[in-house]
Amino acid sequence: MRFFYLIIFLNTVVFSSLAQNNTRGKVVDQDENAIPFVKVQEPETGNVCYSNDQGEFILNYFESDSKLIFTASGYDTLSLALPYEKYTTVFMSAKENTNPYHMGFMVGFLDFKNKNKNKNLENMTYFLGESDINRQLQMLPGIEQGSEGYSNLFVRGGEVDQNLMLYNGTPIYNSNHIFGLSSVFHQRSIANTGISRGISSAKYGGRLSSTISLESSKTGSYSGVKGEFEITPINAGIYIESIKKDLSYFTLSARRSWIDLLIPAESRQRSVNANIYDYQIGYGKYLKNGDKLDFSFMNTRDLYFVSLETSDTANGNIPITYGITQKWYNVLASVNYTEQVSSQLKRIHSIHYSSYKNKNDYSQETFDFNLSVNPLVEEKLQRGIRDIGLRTDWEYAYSNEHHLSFGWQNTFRQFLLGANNLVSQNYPNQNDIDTIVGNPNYETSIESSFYGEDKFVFSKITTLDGGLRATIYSFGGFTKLVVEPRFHLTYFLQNNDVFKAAYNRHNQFVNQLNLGRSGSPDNIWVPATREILPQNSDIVEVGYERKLGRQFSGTLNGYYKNMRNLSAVSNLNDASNPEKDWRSSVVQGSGKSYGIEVMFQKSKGDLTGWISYAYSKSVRTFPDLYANEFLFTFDRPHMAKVYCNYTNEYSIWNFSFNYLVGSGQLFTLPIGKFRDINGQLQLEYNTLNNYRSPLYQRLDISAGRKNINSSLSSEWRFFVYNVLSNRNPLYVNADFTNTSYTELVINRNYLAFVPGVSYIIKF
Amino acid sequence: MKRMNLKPINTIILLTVTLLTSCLSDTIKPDILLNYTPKITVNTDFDNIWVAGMPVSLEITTSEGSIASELPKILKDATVEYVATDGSKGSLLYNAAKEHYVTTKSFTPGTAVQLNIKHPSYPSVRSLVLFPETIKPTGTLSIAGGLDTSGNPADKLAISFADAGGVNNYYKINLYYFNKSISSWVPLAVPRTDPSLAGYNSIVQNDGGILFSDDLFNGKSKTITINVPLGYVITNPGDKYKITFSSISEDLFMYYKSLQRAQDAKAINFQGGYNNAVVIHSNIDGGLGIIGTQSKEDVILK
Repeated sequence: MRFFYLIIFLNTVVFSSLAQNNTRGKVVDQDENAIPFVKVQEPETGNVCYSNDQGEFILNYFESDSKLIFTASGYDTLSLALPYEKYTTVFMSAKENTNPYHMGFMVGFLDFKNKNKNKNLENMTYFLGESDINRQLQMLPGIEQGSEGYSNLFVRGGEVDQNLMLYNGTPIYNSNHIFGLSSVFHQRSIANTGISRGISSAKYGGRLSSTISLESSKTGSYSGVKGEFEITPINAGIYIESIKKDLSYFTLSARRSWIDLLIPAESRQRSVNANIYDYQIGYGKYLKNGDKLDFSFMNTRDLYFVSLETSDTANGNIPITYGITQKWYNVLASVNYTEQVSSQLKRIHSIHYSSYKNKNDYSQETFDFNLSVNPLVEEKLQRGIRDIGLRTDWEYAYSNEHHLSFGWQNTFRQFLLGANNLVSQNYPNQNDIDTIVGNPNYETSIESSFYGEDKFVFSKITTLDGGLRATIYSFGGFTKLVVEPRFHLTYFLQNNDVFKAAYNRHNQFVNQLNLGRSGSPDNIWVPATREILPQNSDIVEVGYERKLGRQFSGTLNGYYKNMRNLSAVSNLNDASNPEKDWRSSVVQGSGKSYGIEVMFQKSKGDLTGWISYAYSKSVRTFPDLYANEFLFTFDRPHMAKVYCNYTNEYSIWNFSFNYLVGSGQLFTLPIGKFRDINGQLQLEYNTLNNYRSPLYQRLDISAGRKNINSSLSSEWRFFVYNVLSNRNPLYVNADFTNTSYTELVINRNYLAFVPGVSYIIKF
Repeated sequence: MKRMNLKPINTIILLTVTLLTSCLSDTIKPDILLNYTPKITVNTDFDNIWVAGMPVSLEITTSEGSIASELPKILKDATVEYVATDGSKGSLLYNAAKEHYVTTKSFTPGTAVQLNIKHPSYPSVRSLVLFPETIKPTGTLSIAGGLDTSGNPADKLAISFADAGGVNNYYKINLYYFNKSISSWVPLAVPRTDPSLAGYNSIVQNDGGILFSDDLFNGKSKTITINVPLGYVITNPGDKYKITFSSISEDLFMYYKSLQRAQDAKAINFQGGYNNAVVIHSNIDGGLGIIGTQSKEDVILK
């Protein structure tokens, strides 16, 4: 009821101020790229506003026949009369050799549509040739892959579960195929990837490290249908996009592994099988009243099955078949309704569903010919998480200086923490068993957030975003209210450079228990509880961005992040056992990370790309694991990355390379052995993560060749990952070769010269 | 330019096979292992944890590098000296029969003892240990006054004590019944029915005892109730049960906790991270091992 009164109040406030004259629109360049910070002014009055990061503006002004003046650095000044209450797209002409770098967005934000555009990322070098969104992000400063070869994302010393990955606004809980080697997002199915590496507006919350926004294509420069078919060593996929400009869109992206199809169907059912698929469907339509509906659906699945046949030699060589199956899947669906209430007020209402489930099945069937039916034992373990989310986000242009955004977001999050179905059938003289250990029911948490933010334009050169986000969380009788301040200052020093500073607090009410390897489908999503408190962090960041000449730009960022109530598994056996309370296997600690990142990029010409260097340090303190502070597993103090691409529209060849050089990965190795209080030998670790592998270095190259003689446009792309064969460890394993502890062997596994290929047909 | 003529499937199968040859491995010997310096390891073994009011002893061994072929060995010629807050000082001498360093000296609850251990071939180590204060527990017994986990009548035992507030306290509880036929106390496993005994912050030991902390009752009076199935002592005319209740040092608790984790982690074959690497707690500065202390009291229930 309180919420209802709040809505009434907000409506009253909003509609009481709608009597002013205003116009709104979007300022774009000739390629329909948004232009931020365009000054829109009614001549000889004080009525001034500036376009936002998306190029959109709303101006309150006096005279309906006034010609408004549009001015922006690097663009020809435009004088234009705009109608009241209408949305107009305003095209501005760039001056010759204008630097296209987008100076907007919050500090630490990067994307490939505005901040880091024109990089031909489809030609990037991808592992195995799988065009992967996560691999693109891994090349940015402050974002690490974690273990070598994996498609994980560790942002500025944070954990994998501290990334809020949103596909069309819906969170996804496992974005990996093949146990983390490939992401579920093909680069072609995503029109833009944006990442806030810590600082975000009050609209987003719930994770400590980053918000990653993946948006499928929803508009285009012109109407039409286009598509692609692609085949790689792993998958074959198709992408179709149908755009009716300013009316509707439809997108379909679907991939499936194909190697398993070469295996006879009977063998797939009885011996071995491995297949993955994902598909995404998007549909949107503008309604007659100008409102808009968006639908989005996504489904991913991995299935792995192996069956082993052996015999029970102790009982007359009776054949026994063991079967092991692992399957995990995501289902995401969302509906958004965008309502343009007036020229000043926009509301977006949405509902989403996101589900992730992992199943591990084990079976043992005995083929005893003396029995009419085969004795069978099965174990079926299930874990998962699912969200049902409701949200309403309002944007209101109160005046030319104050743009407000506020809203309510409610998530019913349900956890399947582990249910193991044990079945025993057909054993002679024994009763059949069919029982469940663990909790087969989902347990529900509720996370309800209210936020409000004011974007206050002080002047042409200064903007202050001030906001608050309040969240009420409850789970199993545990309730917590948190308030998160969000501040962001943008200050233009000259025409070509900008200084940004920000402070954020974040809380996180969901954790992923790492049962051995980050990104593994077996890792368990668990709620914050009275015993395992919600994670929280404070982040301070400053940034400086500058256009350099006509084609280059540079950014310099510094940040400090303090994290509390981080979780770590202290006992892997118990944590993975559904019969035991997972909370007793989790310890909490704290962490901090800080760093400086510098990046230069070139966004024009045939040769584009970026070069970056990041210095960082990330540490953890878990008193229950080790008495002193220790380095975070994926701490890499120095890391330089280069992405370079050559693409000429008149050439049939394109080339690109990734080059990374920096600190090696940390591992924990036993340095000694000693007798314990019971007289047993124990291994001595002087600290956790005590061994840093040698210099990390990796060069990946790719070459693409277009086939221009065919009626359909096609292209081969060839890739080699780690062409220098540098021994970057996938993992380092220390193990004694005998039980007397006299010979320790340390094995290092690595990936070298990994080829990849893809063949693409465009239509 | 010559047109490429490749059949996609064949090319991709070829490259998939090539991929399988891209996963390589080798063997390494990192510097941190090669440059290992052996240390002195000091332990009060399981049966000789220092008890207030009783003579104390120590085992002193070496540590060896993990990649060394040698195993840790007993050090027989170390110098072990102590200074205590009760004004006493002296030495522990090596006893070849026990293979321990021993003294007849005993320490009272609340006494702090500084140990200095030297050996010409190893870096010196030292340790500061404190004997916990006694807690004077009281116990009650109600014959057939409780129910066991199956709902059958059971003897109800209770032990009560006052936990000192403002500091972290750690305890050990052991349960015995008196076996009349052999005329001695026989250990029983302590049931983990009390919340303080049930959580991860408690450790079950081989003698059936449980180590636990005062996390859930810091600064308060605490009563632990134990229900023992009937039958053990039904014919006993006198002594029936004994609860041995010890106040133990924080270092000892932390040591056992890390040792338990190390035992669990041994069963896991996993590479990377620190999930299967456990740093075992120590109160030996410059060395390894543990000098555990406790103040122990027996409560006989008749």
